[in-house]
Amino acid sequence: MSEDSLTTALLAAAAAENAAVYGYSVAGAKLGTPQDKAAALAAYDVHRAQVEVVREWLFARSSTPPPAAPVYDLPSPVTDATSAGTTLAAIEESTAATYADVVAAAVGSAAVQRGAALALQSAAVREAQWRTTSVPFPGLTSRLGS
Amino acid sequence: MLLAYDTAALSHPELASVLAPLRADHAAHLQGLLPDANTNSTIASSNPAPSSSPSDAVVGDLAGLERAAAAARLDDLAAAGGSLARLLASIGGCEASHAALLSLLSVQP
Repeated sequence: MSEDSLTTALLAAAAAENAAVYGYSVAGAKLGTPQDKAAALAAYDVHRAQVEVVREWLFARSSTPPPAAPVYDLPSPVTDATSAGTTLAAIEESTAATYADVVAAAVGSAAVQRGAALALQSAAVREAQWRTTSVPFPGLTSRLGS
Repeated sequence: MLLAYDTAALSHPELASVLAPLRADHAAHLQGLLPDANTNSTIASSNPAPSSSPSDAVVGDLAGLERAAAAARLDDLAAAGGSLARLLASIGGCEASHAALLSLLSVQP
């Protein structure tokens, strides 16, 4: 795929990472157990770090990611610990989906492609932990279902 | 990988219900890559000797296989076109999530 499609995919990943940081800050507060709260805090840090990684990939392509928005739409309402876990699983799935698009667009850009695939794996691990079960094709769920 | 799950489930029937959804993911992967592949168990009708390994060692071995598979998927990407790379990356994500779920399982009573 072209350089432009990779930039487009990276911009979507940057937006997804900013939305994930916001989502964890909101939903993380509703989680019940200390283990879940600790996992959410660790995931929040991972997403904040990943915002910077994707930003660097974009800078390297002479593109500037938009700043984070103050508020993002959550994929589902968060009212309690259960709905918080469901929402965080959906956030990880949509993050994984943007990295799947980066992998597809990064043919010939080995370092970015590998980094995006690793980020997808990391999101898939967290998605499965919030769901307490795995999905066969993390990051492709909405694509395969449509 | 299917064979590893079948072997583990046969030698440790108490693990079968936990391992079945993970095996199903691998069957889906194989069919995603090779739509005509046969994903039925090939050893279900055989009569394996009961395993002498404790079940948490079996789970730990499966977790190690999953981790190695997820790492290998990263190396597969370079030779693939965009659509296949996307599929391989997703399969690697699933394998990484299996490794994490199995690791949790092996430390729980």
